[in-house]
Amino acid sequence: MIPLNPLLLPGLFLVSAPIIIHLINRNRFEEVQWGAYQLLVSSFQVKARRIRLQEILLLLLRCLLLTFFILALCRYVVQYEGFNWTDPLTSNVIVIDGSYSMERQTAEGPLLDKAKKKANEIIGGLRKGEDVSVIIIGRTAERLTPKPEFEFEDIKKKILNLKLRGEAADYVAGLDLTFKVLNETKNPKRRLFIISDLQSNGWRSRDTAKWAYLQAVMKSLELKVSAYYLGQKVSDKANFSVSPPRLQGISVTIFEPARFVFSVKNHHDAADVASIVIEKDGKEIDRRERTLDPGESREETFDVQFEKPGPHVLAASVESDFIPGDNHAFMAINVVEEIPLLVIDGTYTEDFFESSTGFLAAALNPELHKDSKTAFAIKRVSTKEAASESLSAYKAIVLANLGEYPESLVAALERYVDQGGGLLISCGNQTQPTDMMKALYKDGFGLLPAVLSSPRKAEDQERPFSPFFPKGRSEIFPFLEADEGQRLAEVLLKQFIAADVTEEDLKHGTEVLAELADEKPFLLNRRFGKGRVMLCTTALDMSWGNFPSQWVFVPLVNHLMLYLSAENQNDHQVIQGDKYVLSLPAPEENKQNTIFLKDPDGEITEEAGLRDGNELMLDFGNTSMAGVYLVSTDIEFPAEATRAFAVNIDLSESELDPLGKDFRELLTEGFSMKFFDEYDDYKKKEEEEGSVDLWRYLILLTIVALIGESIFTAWIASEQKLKPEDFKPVISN
Amino acid sequence: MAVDPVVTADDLARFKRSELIARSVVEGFVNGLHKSPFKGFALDFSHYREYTRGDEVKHLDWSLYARSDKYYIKQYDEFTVLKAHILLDTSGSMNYTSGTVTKFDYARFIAAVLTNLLISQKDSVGLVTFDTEMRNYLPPKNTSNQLARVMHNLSEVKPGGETSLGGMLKQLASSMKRRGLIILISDLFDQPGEIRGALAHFAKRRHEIVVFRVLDEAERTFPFKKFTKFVDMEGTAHLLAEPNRIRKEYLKKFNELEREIQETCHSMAIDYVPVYTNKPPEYALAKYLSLRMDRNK
Repeated sequence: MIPLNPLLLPGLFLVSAPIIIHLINRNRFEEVQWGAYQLLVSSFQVKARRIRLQEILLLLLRCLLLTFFILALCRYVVQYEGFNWTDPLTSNVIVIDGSYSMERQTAEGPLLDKAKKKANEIIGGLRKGEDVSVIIIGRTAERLTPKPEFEFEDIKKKILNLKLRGEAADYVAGLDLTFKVLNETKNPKRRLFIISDLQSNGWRSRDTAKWAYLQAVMKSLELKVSAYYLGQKVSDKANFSVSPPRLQGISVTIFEPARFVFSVKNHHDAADVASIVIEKDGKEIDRRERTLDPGESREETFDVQFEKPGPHVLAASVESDFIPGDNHAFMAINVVEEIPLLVIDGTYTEDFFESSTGFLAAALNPELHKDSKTAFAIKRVSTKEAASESLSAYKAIVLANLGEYPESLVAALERYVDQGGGLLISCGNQTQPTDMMKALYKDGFGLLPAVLSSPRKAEDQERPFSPFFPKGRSEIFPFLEADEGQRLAEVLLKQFIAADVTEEDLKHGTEVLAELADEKPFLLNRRFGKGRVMLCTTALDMSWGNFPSQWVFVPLVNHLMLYLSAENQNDHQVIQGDKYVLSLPAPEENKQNTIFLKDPDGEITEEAGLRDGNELMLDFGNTSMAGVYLVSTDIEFPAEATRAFAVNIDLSESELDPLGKDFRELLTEGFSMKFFDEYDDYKKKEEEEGSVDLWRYLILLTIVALIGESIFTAWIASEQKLKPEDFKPVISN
Repeated sequence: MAVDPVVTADDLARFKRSELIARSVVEGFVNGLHKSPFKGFALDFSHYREYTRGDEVKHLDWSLYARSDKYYIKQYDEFTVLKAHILLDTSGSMNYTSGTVTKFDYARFIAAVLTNLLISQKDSVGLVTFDTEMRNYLPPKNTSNQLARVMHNLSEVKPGGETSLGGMLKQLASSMKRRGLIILISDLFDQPGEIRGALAHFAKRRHEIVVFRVLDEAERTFPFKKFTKFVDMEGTAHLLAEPNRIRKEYLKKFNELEREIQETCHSMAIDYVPVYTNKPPEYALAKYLSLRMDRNK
């Protein structure tokens, strides 16, 4: 028997009040000298025993009344199974937060250990016939057992062996899986326990439709949810987080060093010294110490020269602190010896300068004809030949002066750009705006960044068109920066295809980087999936002007192609739990479409790739482990046929921010969730809920005692009530 | 030693002037008191009765024999000087009052008035005060000094002690050789058997008995409400009680006692007059005298 309001227990002293009042009243009397004393005594003797008994009973009743009332106010509950025989059996789901913030140490060990202990306590309180499922959540949710467990000892052992997911928690994913689990259960009552440090980040899903769905499911399941906050105030220890390095430049080759940047943030409310270590392929290449003020995020840069092409790993870390999970960040770099470019030429001929892309190829690789190695390795193909190319083998693709757009090629290009490839589309004599629009624009959802109309030609008396690069439009061409923009007056264009940027195009991210006459675009840029598409509205050969022969042509196309191909590097980084999709060239001999994947622990697994012509596509979702993964169609993982991608944790839990009161109230209101900040609080509440409300019975007893007292008092009063005949003696004849 | 007069001249004068005590009433009372309980042949002719064997011949009315040729004996009422005893209860309970007049004051007022009335008719009046035993005895006399002596005794007597009618009245009855008038003034808070036994001693000797039961209104209604300590006026005992809780039983007992007293008096042809101290004594006396006059008509 446990009082939920023990502070009211001293009120039990009031139980003696009726006795004290009785004793006081007995000492407060009037004195009367009485003549008919013997008569009085004989009357009293008749009633004395009865009166005494009534008084004792009345006192007892009043004392009981007060006892019941005060015990009821103390809200006594009793845990006695005999009272619970009518309680239906319950199906239980315990969601344990496996995010990296649960790794932090407390006086009782890591928070996760506390969560395990709590989970086992909950299981220990279950009755025979009840079932329990345990879900551990990070970015995604995972069941501990495939089916609800009825044997509690087994699942208790499994809980003790649980390991952190090392991710930021996503409670919505946890709830989603909970409902699936509960749909498999058959017990009439359902309960969900969430054991977590309740970082607010995990609840901040903006998917309102998802919340509405969760709410509806919870209501239909009549689910009772208790969320237990196991967190505590941030200790005095330092708490840093490191963001993954990112390529600061455009491309990474073996020819020149590349610059990377990452940031270190101090989440502690005091200045601390961070000891930062930078590693390349597992070897320390730099170590530095920085003093960071509270809340300060500091960017660190470092340069790396890669000697060999192929996948490389860069890692930035700080020494272990309060939350170790966010102290390491990785970057996967696929270093190329050269940047492979595919140029699809609509007027392809063997004669280098008779084709539409000869000048382009010469500008990108001036030594091409001498077969020397430079940054770009260009392959020129006709439209027909492009169909047999594995596009994923190239960092960027150029479509120059195409007269036709085969559907298969367009689909492959869309897929290629969507997964991070870069595409440059240029016009020319063969360009038919109508056909191009039909194949590439697709009402704004295609690759084309703007709506094309008829070609614009310079009239006889009109001056040829010159490109103008307005200030601040793009950082791609730093050599063209000028205070009032840069007009390339020496470039004289007789013709271009007029393009109009619609509102819809702007919404899709189309930018005009350079203009021609009437503010018609010269160069446009837009994002498409992970990749980028650029449109040059004029020709890259001499057919429409002198552009390829001017000095600006070489740096402009070099920067442009570096920009388009560089996008791929940073897109090889994903956050834990996110899918990673990549395409690999598919060797013909790989009939099984097997892709080998080596995880950060060095374990190799076989994944089934999806063949699409000459490419194998990998859709990999099990990105729960942070680190660098290698992917290859060859189990030996040769450098030239291997890609790498990095998985990093979501840093949103680094800033410890438990759910606030407002949000909790919102969840309580919408989802009937109960939150408990302190272990004792929830235990008390749990005891209360797991117990029989004795106080309700006590209220009932109080009422019964009150009614009894009233009836008894009224009965005594009725005994005393006098009738007229009581004053008249009966006189016999 | 100076004592408070029981009845002042003013009181007596007031009593005489009282509308309630009309002369005729008093006369009726007095006449009634004077008529001897013995039927005889002395003074006043009463009636004839037929001669029976054993009657003395000297009582025959010869003149009637001459007229009717039948033997009749003349019957006469015997008139004697009345000997009245006023028995006044001086037990402690008589000192009770819920107002200003104690039962004892009320009782001795009645005693004084009756003494005055009797002596004014030349009757002999004696006074007996008692509680458990006889405290004072003033033999009956009809002298003019007797009134003063009675008044003096009434003034000096103080109530106290317990009540026990039985033994004392038996003793008194045995000492009274001639039948007379017994006026008992008491609250009669005694055992019903005791009361019956006491009155029986006088009734057996064919005394005429009048009982004035003097009561306080509170003794009839028991009006107390608060928790009360009732202290015995005839001793040292006390009782703590919730009046409400015992009122009904008390009234029942009170009424039983009253009923038994009434039955006792009725069975012994005793005049029973319950009087309450909240009513004027004249009223009580007038009521009784009126009843008595009616009965004697």
